[in-house]
Amino acid sequence: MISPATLAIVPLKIGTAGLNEPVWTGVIVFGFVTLAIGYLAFVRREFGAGIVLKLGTVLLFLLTLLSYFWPSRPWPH
Amino acid sequence: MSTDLDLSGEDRTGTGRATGTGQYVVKALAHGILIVASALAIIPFAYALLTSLKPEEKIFSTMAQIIPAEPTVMNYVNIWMQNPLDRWIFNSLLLSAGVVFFTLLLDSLAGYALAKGDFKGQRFVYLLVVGTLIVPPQAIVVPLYIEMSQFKLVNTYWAVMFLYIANPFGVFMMRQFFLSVPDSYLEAARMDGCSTLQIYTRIMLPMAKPALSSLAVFTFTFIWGAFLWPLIILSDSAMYPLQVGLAGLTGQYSSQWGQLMAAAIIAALPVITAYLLAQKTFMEGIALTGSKG
Repeated sequence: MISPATLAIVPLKIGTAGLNEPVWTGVIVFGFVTLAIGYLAFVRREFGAGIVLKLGTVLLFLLTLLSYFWPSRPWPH
Repeated sequence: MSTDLDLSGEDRTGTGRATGTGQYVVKALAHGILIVASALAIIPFAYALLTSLKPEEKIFSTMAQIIPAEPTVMNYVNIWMQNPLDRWIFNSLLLSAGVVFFTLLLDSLAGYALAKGDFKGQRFVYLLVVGTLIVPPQAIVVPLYIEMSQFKLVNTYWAVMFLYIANPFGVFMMRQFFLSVPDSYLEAARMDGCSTLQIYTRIMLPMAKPALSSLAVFTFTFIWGAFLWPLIILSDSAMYPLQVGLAGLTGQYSSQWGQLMAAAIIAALPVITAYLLAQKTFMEGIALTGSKG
């Protein structure tokens, strides 16, 4: 049986990040927002997305990658 | 070409001359007030920018000399190299992206329900939401900390985001916008077979773009400048947002003002960019939601 304390470790673990560790919260948040904004910008025509939303999707995707690959830029740099 | 200037010119005869002169006086007064207000807003920023370009050792000895004699970018280089500024900016972007997205989603849903929904206790819920606006956040910081501690979320990004998601001001703003949308749109969509959720996603959300845009800029600006709650709930400096990280650079006995000014300029850039990108829809949103006062 999984205890509530064990379950609490998961959000705690992915909600924190050391200086040179992958930022899992960033991967989740930026990834989710990228998908949502990308859907509105590129799929839903009635939204009439402009260049800002389209470029924003690309920027958010780059930030998702940066969240995951953060340790490849160890501090100090 | 018909312009306001041409139209005012037609009335500038006889008694209209006095009216025209009066209008010029009113316009001059209005412009004067706007120029003073703009100057009050811009001068500290310009002073910070010019100070950030002065060498650290000459900041206090050349305070009267506004324009630096030997401009340098060393303050920018030093603040970037000596502190994890990139990580703080990244943290601020992460918190802002999460909060802005979920604020827009939840506030627009809540605003839509409160404006166009028909359920028991609707007015009470609305009053409850708006009533929370009068509670100062500083007054509930301790209970919030205890709550986050109970959920084992202290020193996590989640704790910072949870507090700011679904703010009552956003709900109020979106409700005001949805109230201005005629019910005939909803009725037409219903006749075409749309469900309540489809009306929200396919009709209301695209129409609410100006309101969403202005709410996004408001929220982004607010989260970018958030200081007290992140300072309290986060203990690991690797997770600090930019404002908290910068506050840590002010020492008890000494501060490197050139670097601090450089950091302040860097911190202001994303907000300026966000405003410039969304300027057109932002102004429309302000007008449509009646937030202009």
